[in-house]
Amino acid sequence: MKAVIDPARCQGKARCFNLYPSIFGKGPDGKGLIVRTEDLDTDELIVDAQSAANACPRGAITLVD
Amino acid sequence: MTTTNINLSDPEVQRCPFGAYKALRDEAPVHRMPDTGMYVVSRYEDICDIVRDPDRFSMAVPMDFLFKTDAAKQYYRDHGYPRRTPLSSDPPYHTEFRDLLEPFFTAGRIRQWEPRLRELIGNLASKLEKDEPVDFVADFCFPLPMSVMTVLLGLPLEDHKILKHWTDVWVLPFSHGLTPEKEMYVAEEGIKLQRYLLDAFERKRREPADDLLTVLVQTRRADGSPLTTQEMLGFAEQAVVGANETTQNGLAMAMKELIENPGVEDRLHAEPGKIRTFVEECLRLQSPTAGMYRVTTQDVELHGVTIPKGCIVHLRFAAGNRDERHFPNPEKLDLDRRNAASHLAFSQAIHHCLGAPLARLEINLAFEILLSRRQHFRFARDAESFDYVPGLALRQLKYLWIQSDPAAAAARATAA
Ligand code: HEM
Ligand code: HEM
Ligand code: SF4
Repeated sequence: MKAVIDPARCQGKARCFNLYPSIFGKGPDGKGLIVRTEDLDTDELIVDAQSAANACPRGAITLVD
Repeated sequence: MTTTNINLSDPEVQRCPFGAYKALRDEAPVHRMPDTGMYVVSRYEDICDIVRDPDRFSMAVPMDFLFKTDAAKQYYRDHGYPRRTPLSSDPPYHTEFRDLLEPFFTAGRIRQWEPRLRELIGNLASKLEKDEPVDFVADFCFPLPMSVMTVLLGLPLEDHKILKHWTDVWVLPFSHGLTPEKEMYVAEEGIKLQRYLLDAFERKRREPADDLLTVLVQTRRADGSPLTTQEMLGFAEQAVVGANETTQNGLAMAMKELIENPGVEDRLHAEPGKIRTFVEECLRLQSPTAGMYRVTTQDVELHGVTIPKGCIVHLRFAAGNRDERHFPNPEKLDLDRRNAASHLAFSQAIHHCLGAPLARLEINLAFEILLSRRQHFRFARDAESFDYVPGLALRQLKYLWIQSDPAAAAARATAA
């Protein structure tokens, strides 16, 4: 499973990288980006990525298998 | 029971709401409740859509509907500030206010709290270490969330008991049928809480510290102005209320799930990393906040039903969390479920629970610590009977008598 951010939706609201910095980071444009590009292969990473997707105010994060 | 008269406030339904949830999802995904006239929405996708549509589904639900007597409303006006939580609002005000608070709930902050949480949880866990039945709700779930919140706010730990009392009283109007006398009592206790908090703000202005109340008194808007007293009170009230019964029930129901599902405890001992998914599955299945409210700003058509402008919509997170359209085999606690954490227990998007990272940390640490000390958790006494506090929005166990086997835990520790 991997996390993907839709740059068209993301408005740099920061919830993802403030809460889950092992998966998300802040890009030079202030928007979210994926720092964990490898497979999310533990329960911890999967739960965190999904929590970020739920929390994102813009619905910009999706998880793909 | 036919779908048309399903009433989620009915104590019979509350004992086991899951059949009613399924009937609603399948036959009446937009359901007008007979007693209150609220529209219940129960499917996962519909709830997701509504929380992302604040223009049509506003959070600014008038809190006044909670008090029925003018005397109680007047008491608030005369003696304090109205009950108004600033986050119960819509963009752009909500966005501005929430952005001010977010920095207090970042990964870095949360990591700082962890040692203190471990200490509080460890102390409570020690009190459970008896070779006789203990009430997990009274001895562990009641004191933990409010002790944590008291510490984070920067209040003396011994005040957690009085804060718990005020918080429990604060939410009484959310259940139906308070007498006028009881409403007045709620108003009086509410004003006592406000006075207590006002004193605390004063103290934090004089002696700032690394805590949430200090953040509140020091926060400045983009234009340099401080938060109003009303805003600070409203947020502090929402923080204690939001953290109290929700986390308490998350903890209690997770223990109930642990005991009711054979094999889960063994698996968590063997693979402690699975505790993360276990906690999400418990939140999904039990949704401590079973539902929240929105108000329509215009007529809205959904599944062939017209919800008129100005109606209260009840988002039933607990029903969406067992929607087979999103969670296959939804009634099962599944430690391998890949989308467990996509549940709605904390809602989604702009109003997604601000305290979710804290609640998650608390419940995860609690089970990590409890499982490391005791083993073979089981129900004590009459295991088949569970009693829930009546109420529409919160699902709340009154007690949970459990027992465990310390010898097994000790043996495992020695073997390891
Ligand atoms: C289609 C109908 C129903 C479904 C799908 C359903 C589902 C469930 C499920 C999944 C549980 C396990 C509790 C949990 O997962 O947390 C449960 C518990 C229970 N159900 Fe039902 N149920 C239905 C109808 C009923 C009816 C008609 C009654 C009795 C009037 C009933 C009484 C109970 C009781 C007493 C419990 C135990 C509650 C507790 O653990 O506190 N259920 N039900
Ligand atoms: C298991 C525990 C908890 C559950 C199930 C829970 C549930 C929820 C839900 C469902 C919402 C969203 C309401 C909506 O969309 O209408 C919410 C919002 C909120 N919660 Fe929690 N909560 C929990 C713990 C906490 C804690 C520990 C805090 C402490 C700070 C907290 C503070 C808040 C606040 C301030 C909001 C409002 C956020 C906003 O409107 O922007 N909650 N909570
Ligand atoms: S939370 Fe959403 S909007 Fe905010 S930075 Fe992350 S992806 Fe972008």
